Amino acid sequence: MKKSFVTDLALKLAPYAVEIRHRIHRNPETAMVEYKTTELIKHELLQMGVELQDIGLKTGCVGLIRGLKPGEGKVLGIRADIDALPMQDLCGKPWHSTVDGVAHTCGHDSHTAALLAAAKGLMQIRDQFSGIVKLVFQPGEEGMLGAKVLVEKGVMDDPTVDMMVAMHNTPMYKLGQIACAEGQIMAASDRFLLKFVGKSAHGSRPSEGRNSLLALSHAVLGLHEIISNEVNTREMAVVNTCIAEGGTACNIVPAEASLKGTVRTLSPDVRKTVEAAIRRVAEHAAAMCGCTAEISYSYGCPPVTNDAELTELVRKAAEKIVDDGNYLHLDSLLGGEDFSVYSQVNPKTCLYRLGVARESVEREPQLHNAHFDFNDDAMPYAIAGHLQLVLDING
Amino acid sequence: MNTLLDTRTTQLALELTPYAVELRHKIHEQPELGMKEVNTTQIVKRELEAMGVEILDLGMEVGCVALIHGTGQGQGKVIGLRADMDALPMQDLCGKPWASKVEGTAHTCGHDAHTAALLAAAKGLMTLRDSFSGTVKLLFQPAEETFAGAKYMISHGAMENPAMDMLTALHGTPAYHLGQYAVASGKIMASADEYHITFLGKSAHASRPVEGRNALLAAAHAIIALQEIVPNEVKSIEEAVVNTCVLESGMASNIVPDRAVISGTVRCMDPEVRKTLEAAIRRIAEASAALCACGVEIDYLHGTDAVINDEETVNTITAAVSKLVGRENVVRLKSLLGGEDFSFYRPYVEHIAFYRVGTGTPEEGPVYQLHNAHYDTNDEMLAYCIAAHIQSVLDVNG
Repeated sequence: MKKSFVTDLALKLAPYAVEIRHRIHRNPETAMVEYKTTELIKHELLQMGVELQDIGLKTGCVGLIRGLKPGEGKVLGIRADIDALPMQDLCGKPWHSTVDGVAHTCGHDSHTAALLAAAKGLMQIRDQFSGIVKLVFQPGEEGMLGAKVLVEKGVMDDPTVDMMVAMHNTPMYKLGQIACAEGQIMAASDRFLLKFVGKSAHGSRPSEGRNSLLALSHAVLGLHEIISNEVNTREMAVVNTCIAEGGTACNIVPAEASLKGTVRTLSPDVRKTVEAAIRRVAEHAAAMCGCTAEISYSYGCPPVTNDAELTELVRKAAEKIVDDGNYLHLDSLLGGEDFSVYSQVNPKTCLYRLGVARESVEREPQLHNAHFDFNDDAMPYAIAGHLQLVLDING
Repeated sequence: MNTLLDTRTTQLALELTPYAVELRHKIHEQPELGMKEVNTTQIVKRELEAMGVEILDLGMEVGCVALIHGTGQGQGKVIGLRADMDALPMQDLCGKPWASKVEGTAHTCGHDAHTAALLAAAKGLMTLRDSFSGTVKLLFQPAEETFAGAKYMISHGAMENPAMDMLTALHGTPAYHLGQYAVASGKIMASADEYHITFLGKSAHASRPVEGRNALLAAAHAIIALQEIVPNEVKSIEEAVVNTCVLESGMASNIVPDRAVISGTVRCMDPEVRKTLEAAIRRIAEASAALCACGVEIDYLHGTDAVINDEETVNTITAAVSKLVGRENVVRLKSLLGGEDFSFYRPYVEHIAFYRVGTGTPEEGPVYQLHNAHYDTNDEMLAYCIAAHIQSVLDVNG
C-alpha cells in the first residue's frame, strides 16, 4: 500500500471496520430480512452524525454526507450490499456465524463494515470535499431483489445520483490488488423453463405414447451445443441445464418432463441469439419426438456494465492506493449482480473488485464456499478506495 | 356389442352385474397404490364375510385369500382365481362421476373391475355350491403394478393349504372388443426388468460449467442411446422394449447438477434377448458417464419372468368362454410386452393361464389404452368377467 493522507486515515479506521465486520459476520441475515444488520448500520451512522434518509425501506438504509468545501460537487453514490447466504459457515474463526444455515460467505460483511468506516472518515474530512456522498446500504443482493426495491423507492433521486460505485471483494485476486475494467464485467443472468408434453402409455407399449423424456434429452444435448455452434468464439456465454424432472413410475411412459437452466451472457446481441436458439432447440427436440414444448424464458438482471469515464476515475484512485502494478484489468465473470439495476436509471456506474487472496489464488476458498471468510488485511484498501474516490471526484 | 349367449351362467352373471358395477365405482373412487390397498382390502373382506365366504388368515396386511367349498358330489379340484387390486400413481382424467377422489392415484389399469368381478363371481358361486365339487380359492392380490404382490402372497402361504391344481387370472383390455375373450398358450407376456442408473458429476456454479461435471448431460446421452438398443441390437423378429420413464436431477437453476437418476423398464419375451438387453444397458450407462466425465452407479433389477400359459388350462378356458359368447368371439391372444407378476405363481401351480377380456368400444368414441390417464374400463365387461370365472369353475368341478 502506498503511503498517503488517505491510506493513513484508512489504516486508522481499519480496526473499527474489522470489529464491525466480525459483529455482522456472527449475526448473518439472508436477503431482504437484514433487520439486525440494518439496525447496526443505522446506529453507527447516527453515532457519527450522518444524516439518514428515510425512503421507506424495511431493510437496508440510505445515508447522506454533505461536503463542506465550497464548489458544485457531484452526488456520488457508494453501494455496499449487506446480506448473507443460506448456507453453513465453516470458516472456523472465532467470529463464525452463530445462526445455523446462514453465513457471510460472499463477504458482504466487509462491504458494509468498510463503507461504515469510510463514512466515519468522511465525516472527519468534510471540509475537504464538496457535493454529496450518498451511502447506499443495499439489502438482498443475493436474491437479486434489493437493488430493484431501492430503485423503486427512489434511491437514485433526491438528490439525484450523478454517479455510483460499488466495491466487491474477491479471492480471485490477491491481497493488495484492485481490479476494474470498462464495459460488461458481469453477466445478464436469465432462466429458462422448458416443459415437454408427450402422451402417457404403458411403459411396455412405447408406440402408444410419446415419451417426453426423450424430447427432454435431445433438448439437453442440443442446448449444450448452442455456445460452441452459434456464439462467436470471442464471446463469453453459458447455457447450462440444471434441473430435470419427468415421470412417476418405471412402467408409465412419462407424458410430461420439465427442464430448467440458466443462461449467462455479456453482450445483448449474444443474449438475443442464445434465447432464440433455446426456443428453436426446445421446439425441434419436442417435434422430433412427437411431443410439444412449452417454453418460458425469464429475463434476469442485465449485465453489469462499467461506464468508461467512471472506470478511469476508479483506476486513478486505485493507483494512488495500491503498490505499482497492483491495479489490474478485471476479467469478466459470468456471475450475476443486481448492481446493474442502478445502471438502468443512470449508466454512470462502476463496480470494482478488491483482492483478498492470501497466497495463491488457486488454494483460496472462493466466494459462496462454506470455508470462505473475508481477509481483514484487505480492509484498509477497501476503506481507502472509498475515501480516495470521494476526494478525487469532489475534492 | 353384446355377445353373451343365453345360458344359466350368463343369466346369473347379468344378475350379479349391478352389484359388481357398484363395487367397481366405489373402488375406482378410492384408488390405492401397491401394498397400500388397505381400504380396498377392507371392502373385499366385508363383502366376502357378508356372503359367508371363508377368509383365510394368512397375516397379510393387504390382499386377501378366501375359499369356497363346493357341496357337489365328487372329488373336485382346487381352482384358483386371481384378481389384482392396486391402482397407479397418475391423474385420473376419465371424467366419470366415479373418477378418483385421490390426487395422483387412478385405476387406469382396470384392476377395480378385476376385484369387483371376482367378488361378484364369489357371490354367484356361493349360490351354486351344490353345482360343483372341490374348492375355489379366491386370490385378491395387492401390488401387481410394482410386481411385489404375488411374491407377498406366496411368502404368506397363499400357494398352500390347499395347494391349487389350476390357477387363472383375467385382465381387461381395450385391445380387444367388448364381447371378446382373448386366449393363447405359450409365452404371452414379457419378462419385466427395471434399471435405475445414477450419474454422478460434480456441482459448481452454473455460470462456471468448467468447474463442474454436469450429470444431467450424461443422463441425456444415456436416454437417447438406450432408445437405440432395440432397433440396433435385437433381431427384428423379437419383441423387446427399453424405455426410460423417470428422470430426476438438480436442485437449483444456478447449480450444475452433480447427480441425475434415470429409471426405466426392460421388456422381452425371450431369455437370451433379456441377457443382451441387460448387457447393452450396462455398457451404455458406463459409456455415457465416461463421455461426460461422470461416475455411474447401475442398479439393474430382475423383475417378473415371462408369463407362459399351460396348454391344457388354455383349452379349459377356451372351452368355458366359448359357451358364453360362441367360439367366434374367442380370439387368439397376441403376446404383449407388458409385465405381470402372475408369472411368479407358475412354479407353484402346474396348470396356469392368464387371459384377456375385451373392453374396447371403438364405435363409442376414442379408445384409451391401459395406463392412459383417460382410461376407465367399462361396466359392461364385468358380466363377461363374472361369467368366465363361474363357467370355468363349473366346467372343471361341475
